[in-house]
Amino acid sequence: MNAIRTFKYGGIGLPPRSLDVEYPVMTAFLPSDAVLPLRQHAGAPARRVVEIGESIREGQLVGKASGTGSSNIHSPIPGIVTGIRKMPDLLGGMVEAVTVALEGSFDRLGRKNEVFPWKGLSKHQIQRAIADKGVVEDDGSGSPLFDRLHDPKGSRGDCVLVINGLESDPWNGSAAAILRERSSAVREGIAILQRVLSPVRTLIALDDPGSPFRTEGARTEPGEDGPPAEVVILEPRYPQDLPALLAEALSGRKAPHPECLVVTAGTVASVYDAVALNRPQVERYVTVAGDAVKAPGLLRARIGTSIGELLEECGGFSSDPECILLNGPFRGTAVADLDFPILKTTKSIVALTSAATLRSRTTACLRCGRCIVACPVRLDPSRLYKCIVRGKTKEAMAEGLDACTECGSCAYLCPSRLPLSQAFSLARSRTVRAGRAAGGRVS
Amino acid sequence: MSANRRGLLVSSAPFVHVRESTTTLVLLVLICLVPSLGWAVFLFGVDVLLIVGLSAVAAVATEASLNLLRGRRTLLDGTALLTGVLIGFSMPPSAPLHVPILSSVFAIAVVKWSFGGLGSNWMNPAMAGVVFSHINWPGSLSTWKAPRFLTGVDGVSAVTPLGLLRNASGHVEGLPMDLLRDAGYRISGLDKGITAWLNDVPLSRLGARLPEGYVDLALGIRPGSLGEMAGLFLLIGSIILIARRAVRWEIPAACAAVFGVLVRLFGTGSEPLFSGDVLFALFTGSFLLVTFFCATDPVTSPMSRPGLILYGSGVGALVFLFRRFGAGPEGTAYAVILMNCLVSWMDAVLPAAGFRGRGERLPGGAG
Repeated sequence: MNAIRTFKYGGIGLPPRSLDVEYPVMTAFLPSDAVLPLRQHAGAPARRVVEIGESIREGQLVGKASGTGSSNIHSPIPGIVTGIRKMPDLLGGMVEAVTVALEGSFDRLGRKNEVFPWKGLSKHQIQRAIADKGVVEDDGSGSPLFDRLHDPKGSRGDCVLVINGLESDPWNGSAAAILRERSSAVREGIAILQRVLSPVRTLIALDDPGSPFRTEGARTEPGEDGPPAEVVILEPRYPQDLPALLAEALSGRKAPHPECLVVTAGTVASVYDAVALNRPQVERYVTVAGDAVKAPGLLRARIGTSIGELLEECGGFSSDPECILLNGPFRGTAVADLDFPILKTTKSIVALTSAATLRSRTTACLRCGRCIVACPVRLDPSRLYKCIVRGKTKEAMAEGLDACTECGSCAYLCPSRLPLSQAFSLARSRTVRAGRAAGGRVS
Repeated sequence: MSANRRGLLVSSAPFVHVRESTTTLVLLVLICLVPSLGWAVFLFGVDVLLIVGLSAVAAVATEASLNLLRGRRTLLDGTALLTGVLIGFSMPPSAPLHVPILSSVFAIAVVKWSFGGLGSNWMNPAMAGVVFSHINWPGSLSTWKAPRFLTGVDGVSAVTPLGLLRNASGHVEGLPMDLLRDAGYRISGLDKGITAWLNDVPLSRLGARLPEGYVDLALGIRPGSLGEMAGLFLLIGSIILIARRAVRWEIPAACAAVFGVLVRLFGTGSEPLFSGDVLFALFTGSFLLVTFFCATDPVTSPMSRPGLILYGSGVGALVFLFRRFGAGPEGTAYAVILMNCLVSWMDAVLPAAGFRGRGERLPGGAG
C-alpha cells in the first residue's frame, strides 16, 4: 500500500508550486447575479424550465437534462430570473444561459444539514437521486455520474472503483482541499457508490502528503457493499489524473482488468450531498492561482459566480496577465471575458504573466526528441506534427493521432515552442467534422 | 475590474512552457565553450580571438543575409553563431583569416540553408565547413603554432602529436608516447611537474604510475587546433551539457566506448595488437570537441535511443578507421558528416515512438 507508483511511460515531473492554501477554505461571496449556462456537462444542453421574471428558490431546477450526457442544472441562489441569453461556451459554440438575480431568503444556507438515512435506499433510488441533483464529474469532462453508474443491461461485471484524489497540475489545489475538509463526506460518498456498484475493490489515489486519508486510512465501514477502500499513494507526475493513466498506474497494466471506474474526490463529495443531504451540485472548490494574482488561494464558490468576482476576492491582479485560464494551463481554456461564470466543471482560475508562460517565438524542430520521451501514450509528436503541417492528417491518424490524450506534455517541453498538442486537437476536430459531413464513420 | 480586458491571449492549451528554448540551449553550449576559448587565448595569445570572432561574424552575417532573402527570422536563435564558433575552434591558431571566414560562409549558405535553414540541415554545418576548409587549404591548415609552456619548439615547424606519430610510425612499433619522445617531441616543464606530483602523492598509493606527456595532452599544451586544446575544459563543459540534458548522452557514450575499444584492440598505428593507448587517443586531435559538441547536434542525429547509440558508435568507429588507416592524421569531421547522412535511414529503421496501437506502421516502412 505504501509503494509509490506512477504510470509507465512519459509524462513530466512538474516543479511543485506551493499554493499557500489556508484551511479552512474561505467561502466566496454569493453572486448578486448568477449566470447559469445550460451546458455544464458533456452532452446536449439542458432544457430550460424557468421563464424570465420567474421567482425561484435556492436549489430549484433551472435546466432539465435532455438525454445521455446531459444533466440537470439547479440555481445556486434564490432570486428572480432576469435574463435568458446566448453566450459563448468554452468549446467555441454558443449556449443558452439563465441569469438569476439574488433575492429572497435561503432555504438551506446557514441551516443545519439534515442527513437523510440513505442506507435504506435501493440502488435505483440512489442513482435517481444522483441524476436528479445533477451530479457531473467535476474534473472538466463533465460527464454525468448517472450515465457512468447506470447499467441498464446489468452487464457490468466486476469493477474497481477508483477515487481520483490527485491534482491535475501544480496550479490546482482543489482535490487535496476536498479530501482534507470534506473527508467525512468523501467517506460517506464512497460508501454510497459502493452500494450502487458493489466493486471488487475500492482504491483512493492520492498525492497530497498531508491528506487525512493518508494518515488515518480510508476508514470506511466494511459492509455488505464490498471490501473497505484502500489508499494508494502516487508520485506526483503530470498527467497522472487522466483516468486511463491512473488505472494503468494502479494496476501496473496497460489495459486493466477488471474495469476501472474513476471518479474524482469532488464528485464523490457531491454524491454525498445529493444522496444524504438532498442538495444539488451548486457549489464547488475553485483554486485561484497564477503569478498574476495578488493573493492566490482556494475558494468555495457557488456556480454562476463570475471569475472576475473570485479574482477580486483573491486581491485582483498584481501584474497584467498574459492569459486567464480555466482548469489550468495544460488542458484548460483561455477566457477573455471576466464575466464568465464558474461552472460545475471549473477546477481552477489561473492568471499567468509572460514570465510564467515562457512563451517565445516558434523555431524549427530541433529533433531533440523530448516530446517523444514525454508522451504518455508513446506517440511521436514531432512526426505527427510534421504530417499535419504537410496536410497529411490521414497519415497522422495511422501513426496514432487518435490515441493522443491532449495532455500537452509535448508542447510544454518543446524548446522550439512548436504548437504540438494544439495542432493535434485541431486536426482531430477537423477530421471528426469532415467525417460527420461525409455522413460516415471517421476512419 | 473591467469586464473585457484587451490583449489577453486566447489560444489553446498548453499555455505554459519549460524554461528551455532553442536559444537557451544554444546559449548553454556556447557558455560551455567559453573556458576552452579562454584557455586557447592564454596558450596562443589574443590572435585566436580574431579567428573565432571572424568565423562567428561571417556565419552570423551569412545567416542574416539569407534571412533577408528567404524572409525568415532565425538569427536570434543563435545557431549560426554556434556554427561559426565551432568552425573557428577547429582552425589552427596560425590559420590565415580567409579560411575560417569562407568556411563559415559555406557552412551556413550551402549546408545549413540549401534545404531551408535550422532543422533542415542535412549535415552538421560546422563539420561540413571544417571539411570544406581541409579540402581547400590543406597547406595552411597543417602549420601549427607552439603553445605557451612548450619551449624550444620552432614556432612554424611545430607538429601535432598525431601528425608526428603518423610520420614516425610505419617503421617502428611501440607506444605512441615513446615514439613521440624518440621523434623529438617536447614535453613541457608543467607536465613534468604535475606528473611528478601525481605519481608521488595520489597515484603511488594506488600503485599506478602516469608516464610523462599525458598532462600536456589533457591541458592542451601541444600544437593543435585552437578549440580542441583543453581536453579537461571540454570534458567539464560536456558534463554540464549532459547534466542539463542539452545533449543526449547516448551519442558521446557510444562514440567514446566504440572508439576506445577499437583503439585498445588495434592501436592507432604503432602499438602492438591489444595494447593501444586509449588515453592518448582520446586526448589527441579533436576527438573530445567533436564527440561532445558537434556529433551531438540534435538536428543531425537520430531520435530514438537505439538510433543514437548506433549513430554514436558509427562516429566512433569511423574516427578510429580514419585515424588508423586514413591519409591524414585525423578525420573526425568526415566521420560526423558521413554518419549525418545516415540519420534519416536510422530514424526509419529504428522509430523513436513506442506506439503500436493501430499496427499500421510496418517495421522499417516509415514513409
